[in-house]
Amino acid sequence: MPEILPQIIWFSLLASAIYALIATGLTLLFGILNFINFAHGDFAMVGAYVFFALAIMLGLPWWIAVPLVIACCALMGVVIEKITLKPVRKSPSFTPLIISIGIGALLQAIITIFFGSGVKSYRVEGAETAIYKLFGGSLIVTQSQIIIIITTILLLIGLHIFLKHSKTGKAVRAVADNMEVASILGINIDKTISIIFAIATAMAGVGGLLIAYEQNLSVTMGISLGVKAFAAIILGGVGNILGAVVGALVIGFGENLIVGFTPIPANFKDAIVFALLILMLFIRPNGLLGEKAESQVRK
Amino acid sequence: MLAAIVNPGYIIGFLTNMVIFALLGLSLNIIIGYIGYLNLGHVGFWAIGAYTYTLLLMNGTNYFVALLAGGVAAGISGLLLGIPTLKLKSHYIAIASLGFTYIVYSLVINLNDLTRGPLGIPGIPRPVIFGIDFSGDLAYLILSIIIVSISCLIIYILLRSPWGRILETIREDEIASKSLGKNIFKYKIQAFILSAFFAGIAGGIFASFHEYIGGPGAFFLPQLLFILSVVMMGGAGSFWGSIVGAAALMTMYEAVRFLPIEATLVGPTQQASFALVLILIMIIHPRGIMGRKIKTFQK
Amino acid sequence: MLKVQNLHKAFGGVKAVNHCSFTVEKGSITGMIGPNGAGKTTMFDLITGLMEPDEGHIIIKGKNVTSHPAHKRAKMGIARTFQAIRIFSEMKTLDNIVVALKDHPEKMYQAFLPLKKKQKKIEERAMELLKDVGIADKAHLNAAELSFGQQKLLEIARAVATGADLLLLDEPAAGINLTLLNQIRDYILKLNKEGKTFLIVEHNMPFIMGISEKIIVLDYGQEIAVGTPEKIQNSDRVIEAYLGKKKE
Repeated sequence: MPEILPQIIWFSLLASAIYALIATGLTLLFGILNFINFAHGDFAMVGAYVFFALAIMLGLPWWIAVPLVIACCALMGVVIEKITLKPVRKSPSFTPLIISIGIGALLQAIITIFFGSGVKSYRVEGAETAIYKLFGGSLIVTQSQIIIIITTILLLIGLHIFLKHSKTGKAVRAVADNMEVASILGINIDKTISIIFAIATAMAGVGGLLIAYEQNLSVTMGISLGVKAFAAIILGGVGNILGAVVGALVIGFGENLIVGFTPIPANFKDAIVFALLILMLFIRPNGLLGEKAESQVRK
Repeated sequence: MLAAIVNPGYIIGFLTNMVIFALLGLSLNIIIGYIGYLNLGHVGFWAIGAYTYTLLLMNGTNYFVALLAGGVAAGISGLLLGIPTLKLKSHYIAIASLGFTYIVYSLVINLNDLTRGPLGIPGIPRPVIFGIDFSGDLAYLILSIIIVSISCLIIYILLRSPWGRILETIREDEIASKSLGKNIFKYKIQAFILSAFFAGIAGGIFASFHEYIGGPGAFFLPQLLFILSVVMMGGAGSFWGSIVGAAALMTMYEAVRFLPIEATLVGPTQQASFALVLILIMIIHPRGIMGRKIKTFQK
Repeated sequence: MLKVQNLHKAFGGVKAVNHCSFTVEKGSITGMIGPNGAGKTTMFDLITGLMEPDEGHIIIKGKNVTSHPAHKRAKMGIARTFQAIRIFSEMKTLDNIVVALKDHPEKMYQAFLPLKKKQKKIEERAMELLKDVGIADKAHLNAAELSFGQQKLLEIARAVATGADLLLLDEPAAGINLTLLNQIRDYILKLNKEGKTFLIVEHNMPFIMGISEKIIVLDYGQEIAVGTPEKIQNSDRVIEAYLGKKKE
């Protein structure tokens, strides 16, 4: 069935783009704070709902709503870090990890209280999105999908430039490398961590609203996104941004190709990803591109 | 409201749930508190136990055989999860085991022929043993207490034995334990099987108590959050802590029902309250009500 | 007793242990010295199986154990202490020793057997070992509550408790006062008389020179000199290794 191949590749790219947005933030947080944020998928979910509230319920135009979503998510990240994670920064990494599980559940509960548990959609009745047919009809592409791909690429390039070339970006890398040394060098650790949280949650929020734009919103949408982002960063080697993007591509393509070309039904997509993840951990515990392996040995 | 509290049926139901969650918490505590790993796959073991028990029982298998088979099936899944993950670093075990919960959930929801998917399985009978009918609520509570007490006794003996002492050396310092000639992988696997076995037993008791299992969202993250909170609130590494934790959290769970809020808000409010409790415990008093200091969680 | 042949271990570009060979004779006390970063702790990790070498062989009691996991090597009668103390801090001092004893009934099924007598005997044996190092009065405290020096003694006693006849001590003298140092020296000598073999990494020169029959000097992961303490103290190469760079 080669005629469906272009479409599957396109879907794989779309999924990879969203996973990459969420996974890069997750890997940034891991690089700096050495903990895995189990609430990250839920940050994405909150982003999707904030956009729903602003653009659909209040009817704001998208060019106002999107910056507001970014601002809200960034603020949420900073506030959560200050209240819940800063006090336990010196504790072993299980403490923040369990706290982040609590935060994820809390965010889901709060969103359910405000929006209800039903599935929601950004689609306004009667409105039509532009659809483009390529390769003689074998590839159908919607306008919203193109927006997702372009936004993702722009954000990832922006993040790369920020980390490589800006002064704050260099501080971030210094803190990730060695927090104590960075602090001796006069880098403001608290501020740097806040910036990272702001960036990571904002990127997750954008990822959430993009996926909701393409599919639907539900309170539990973050769970699957989060675990796929874990899978992506483990595949790519934890703490490595390029690795997170590569991992996202592997997962995005992997799940779509398996569902497209094997008799396994689409419902099992997530289960397959996780089964492969566990298998991968068994065979290559440090990820495909893993280099920072020894530092994560259990002390 | 008062009438509802003093209603004996209500109290019996409350106590049965408490007993079941005490066993779930205690069995998870073997992993969290004694070998010091964060296992997020416990809900998966519970589900496997519940479904194995239900399917066997409803096909005419003897009650005890079905109950033990549920435990054994869960134990085998503990072995299968343990082999690829237990040599990994602790973060990865947390993620891989969360993936396991997700895989089991996905199978439960999608294997319609076996589990009836999101519809769940109604009409699960309660047993008649040696001519004694346990279908009444009070009788079933007594049966649950007996089975859970036996289970707790077995766990108690094991944890207080030299075997349990070796588990603690793994929590304290794996490298030192290895250097003393302990095959720590073997002990970790044994602990995982034991923990999963009793989660499976809890699944069997749970299934017949509610006379129904399944439905969307059952055996998934909200329950995982609850069990994790039971362990952390009671105290990691404390035998009695898990039982106290189950009592405290069940009380809180039920108390939310009596708040003057709409019925649809009860679920999310319950979830929000456990999440808050979990976050607060981890920040303020990570050893829980009765727990000891554990390196993995505290400074 | 212990033979290291052409052992090699690199981390990235750094050769922590560089084609190193030496032997430790049965019944001896062998010292291992060398500047910081000479590969001494890595050597211990390789010998005890906490790390796998890139090349070379480790032979314990005539058996090639290079591919054996750490716990198997320990079972062959080799035990160690660590540079940064690794005791089971939230367990009782007594239990730290009890778990190390050879006949500790630690199989899962043994939890259900009536082994009260056996357990009591084991605890008595553990108590004796604590008495030997002078911390028997702390037996029922959590090990974390012991002083630094007492924790070091506990760690040595725990290694002894395994019944190992080859003991690898990583800086037993570091950071402790003179009284305790003498106590540790006497303990090592007593055990040596009982037939135990020692390989000791140490920076405290008077201590190591006084106690060892043979000294191995490591630098950049290689053995640059082997011999009696007198010979080593007069070796140009050793003096160069120490004085040519920072003096320890």
